[in-house]
Amino acid sequence: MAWIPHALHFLATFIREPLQYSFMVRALLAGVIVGVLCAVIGCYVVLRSMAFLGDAMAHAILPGVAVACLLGKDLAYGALAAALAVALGLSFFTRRGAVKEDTAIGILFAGAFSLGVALISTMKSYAARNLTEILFGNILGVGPKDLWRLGILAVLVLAAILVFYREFLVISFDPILALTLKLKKDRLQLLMFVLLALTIVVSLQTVGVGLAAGMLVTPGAAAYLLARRLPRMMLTAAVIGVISSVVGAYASYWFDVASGAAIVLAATVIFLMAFLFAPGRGLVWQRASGRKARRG
Amino acid sequence: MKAPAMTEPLAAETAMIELEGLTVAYNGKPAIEDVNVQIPAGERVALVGPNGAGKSTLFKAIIGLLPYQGCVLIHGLPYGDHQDCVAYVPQREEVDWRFPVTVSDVVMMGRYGRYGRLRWPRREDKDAVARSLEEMGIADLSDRSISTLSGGQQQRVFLARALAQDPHVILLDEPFTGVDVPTRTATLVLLERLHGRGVTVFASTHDLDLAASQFERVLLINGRVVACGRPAEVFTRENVARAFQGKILMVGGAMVVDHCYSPHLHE
Repeated sequence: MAWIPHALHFLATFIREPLQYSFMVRALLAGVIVGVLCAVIGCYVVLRSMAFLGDAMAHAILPGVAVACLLGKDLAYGALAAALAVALGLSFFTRRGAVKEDTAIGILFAGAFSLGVALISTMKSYAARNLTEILFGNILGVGPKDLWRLGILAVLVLAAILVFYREFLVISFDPILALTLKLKKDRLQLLMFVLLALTIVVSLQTVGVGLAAGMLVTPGAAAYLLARRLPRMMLTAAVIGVISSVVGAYASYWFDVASGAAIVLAATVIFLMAFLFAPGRGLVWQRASGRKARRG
Repeated sequence: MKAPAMTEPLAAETAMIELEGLTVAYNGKPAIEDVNVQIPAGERVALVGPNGAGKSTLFKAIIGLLPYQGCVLIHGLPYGDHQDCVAYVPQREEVDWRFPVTVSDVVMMGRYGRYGRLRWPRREDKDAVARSLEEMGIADLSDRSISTLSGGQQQRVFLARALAQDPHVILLDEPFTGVDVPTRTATLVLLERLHGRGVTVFASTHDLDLAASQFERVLLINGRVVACGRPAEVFTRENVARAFQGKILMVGGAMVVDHCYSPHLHE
């Protein structure tokens, strides 16, 4: 068993060495913030089958980023402006039933994303360098100012989710009840879109527009298999989101993997484990109890 | 609510729900047309009609879920002017039963409209939930995940939630369809009790027997109002034949409604 101390030493180095760099500490903090935030609001995304919408929203932010870049402004403000515009646009589209909802989302999303790519491709020198970063995130590049912004936005969004917990629960579970209770359903819906948009802006830095949906959906989906009540599901999702972000940040440091991809892959692995082994609902569990039932 | 003047007889003709020229159209095709009905406070009213007669549509118009032409008055005021005095019990398929909430969570939702400023359940809200669960005989299920419930239990959860709302008017969409006998009995007992408390009950069904035996008033519709009044006045052969058209059979002097009949098959 002489190898155990060596292994432990190696592990300690693996974990500790990157921490001497402040960029890595910031990366981990950013990962934790984004992991928690995406996972918590992601529970609603999963329960309300809004995965496609989340993905669309993330992509539709691209033109905002591009315009900010053209004007030489901070990219985050461009993303923020675009996100809010998209949230308003979607709530307008879904309220008028002229086009089916997912069709409307598809059109909006593809159009906006193309506009973003078109704008960025005109900025030749810039495009090559930064497009990958915008699309797939760079968690190791989080600056002190970025971190503050992430923190403040995250606190705002989480506070809103807490304050409107019951309203969001009702409009998600039973919209008709929401109506008879005189909840302002359209406004709550818009608020949820705005919170989702803000979350995506926050996650831009770590997973990028291409993979934001993964962070929104995957931890929530895994937690859905593991928890019986919504608060527990949110907590479980948050833990999964944090683990994925931390694993992703380390993978990014040691193996130079694109951070967004590493984070989403980690979350995917956790989801697959839950899918297979979740007590009661996992595939393995169901097979096993099915066999028992047949025998019995 | 307007108090009835002393000279008026009790169970007075102060109409609780008034529908005036109510028309609801989907894509320009009217599903219900020109419904004029007054439902007095505290009565049990059965809404009867064949499939596709617009029973659900009528309810959804009353609660403001569908745009309509005409007028819906509750206590003499447009629907939007009330706090949650109308409880609606939807058909069970309307919600996702895999949602991660427990039975008591769902029943507590009925109280959301009544929370105080702190927007947090108070003693009275918790009491109301416990009472409603007790009354529907599902107190032992209160911590169960709703994904584990049987159809009858799901129905009772919805009824308990409506009870917790403490409504003046309760609308039930097909509460007797596809439920087990104990739930059916529990539902009827509940309607009886609500009636005793002066709650106006408005339930859709296509069970004519049930409508005739358990309700004071029947509203027979098929797109339009065919008849409205006491069961004996409404369920004449002509009225039922008009409402159900070809779907009615006479078997040895008894009227039988054939629910499988579809006019489209015969066109």
